[in-house]
Amino acid sequence: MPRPNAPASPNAKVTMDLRGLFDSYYGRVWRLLRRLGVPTAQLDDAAQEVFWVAAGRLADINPGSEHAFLYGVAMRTALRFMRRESSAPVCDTDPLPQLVDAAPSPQDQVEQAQARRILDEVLRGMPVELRTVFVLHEIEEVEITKIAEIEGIPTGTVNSRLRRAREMFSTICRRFQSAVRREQESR
Amino acid sequence: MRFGNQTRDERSFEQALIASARHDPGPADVEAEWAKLAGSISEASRAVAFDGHRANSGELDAGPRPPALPAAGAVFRAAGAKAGAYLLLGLVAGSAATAIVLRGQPRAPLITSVVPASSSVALSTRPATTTYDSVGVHAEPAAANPPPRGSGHEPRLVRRTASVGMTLGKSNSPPQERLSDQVRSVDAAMGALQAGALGEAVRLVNRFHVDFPHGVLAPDAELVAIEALAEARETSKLTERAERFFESNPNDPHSARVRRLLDDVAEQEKMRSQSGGVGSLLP
Repeated sequence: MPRPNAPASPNAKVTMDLRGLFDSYYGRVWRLLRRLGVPTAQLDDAAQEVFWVAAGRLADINPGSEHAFLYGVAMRTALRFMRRESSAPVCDTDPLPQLVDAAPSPQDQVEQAQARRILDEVLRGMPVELRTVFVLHEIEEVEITKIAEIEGIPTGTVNSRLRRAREMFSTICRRFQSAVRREQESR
Repeated sequence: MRFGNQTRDERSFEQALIASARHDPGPADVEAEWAKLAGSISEASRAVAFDGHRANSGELDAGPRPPALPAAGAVFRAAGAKAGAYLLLGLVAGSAATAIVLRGQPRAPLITSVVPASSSVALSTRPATTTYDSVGVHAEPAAANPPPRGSGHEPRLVRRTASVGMTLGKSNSPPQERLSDQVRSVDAAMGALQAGALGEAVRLVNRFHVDFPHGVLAPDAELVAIEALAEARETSKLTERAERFFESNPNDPHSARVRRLLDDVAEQEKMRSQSGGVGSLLP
């Protein structure tokens, strides 16, 4: 299996194959697509698209930069899928009523799956450019410089987006918690 | 207690949400997704081979089309089937590092071992599969949508997509059964068949099975023998061999070709029996 940070060697490119790439990264790419907002029903297709692109560009992927390449493709793929999904909520919609109904008392640490559903709803409440930076850095733990490389933007812009994204994430979370409290008090 | 503008409660809530993403189990069935992807690539390679053959024979705009790609190939369809496939195959072949055979079932191809480019006779600058000029194209989308018999579009013998430079998985073959050697062996049998040495073609295929008991090109080799037997009008041997073929390779794309050969020979036999007939052409 290729290691994301393996040092480049003359033979690394030769031995890297699609299967290895798929085994190493399919799960991560799939999760990234989900966090970026690709609808659940389309996650498999979106992930397939990412690896289809990778299959056609294996020769272009430098050893050690597989994850950057795949994340970049995944980001663009996610954007395409989200554009297709015209009914998907956009940043100016308020996801809270749905969250309150669907998620009882997350502060008491409901199951992980429920927490993920809430997370996805919160992320969906953020503009795409902020969400992308936030997901890559806070969840996928990609370094700022790598994000800049993947996104093709200056590191300063990444930092600024990340700051705004964190603020927004906190704001939405606070609103959500308040709504849950109100809901509990009214019972 | 507050952390900046946050209370401990708010902060832990956010952290819990983010942590939940890191424990996301992810996709349910990665193997199935792999099979889907490999199947799409397999379909693409077949589409290219099919169109390539028809382009060579000046029939590109006529005759049957390859089957539609599965859902996972949406990007391929969107980008234009042929162009996408050529791009894909051209790029991976450019690396000239490995070789693959995409076999049989559209969604679950069997895979070959890695073969160094220098030792592989299959690596080629020609796009898609290397076909045999007079008899070949890997075009058994015919299995799903066969061309009309006698139309001249029927693909005959095929060499597998061993010219594509990419590995799609782990080989089921022992390492000593190198793909390049298998290709060479099938080539020899094919050459004999083309030269009209039908008995020699069958002998070489039998030799193939001895040399490569787990060979990934076994169905291709076997098709050569079946073609030879059909041409030699060895009806009983043909039937026996064809039945074995169907048993061993129930979903192989060559099945459609084998069935057509059986039908053709049966029809010829019927006509011959009505008019006095000629025996086997094998020595």
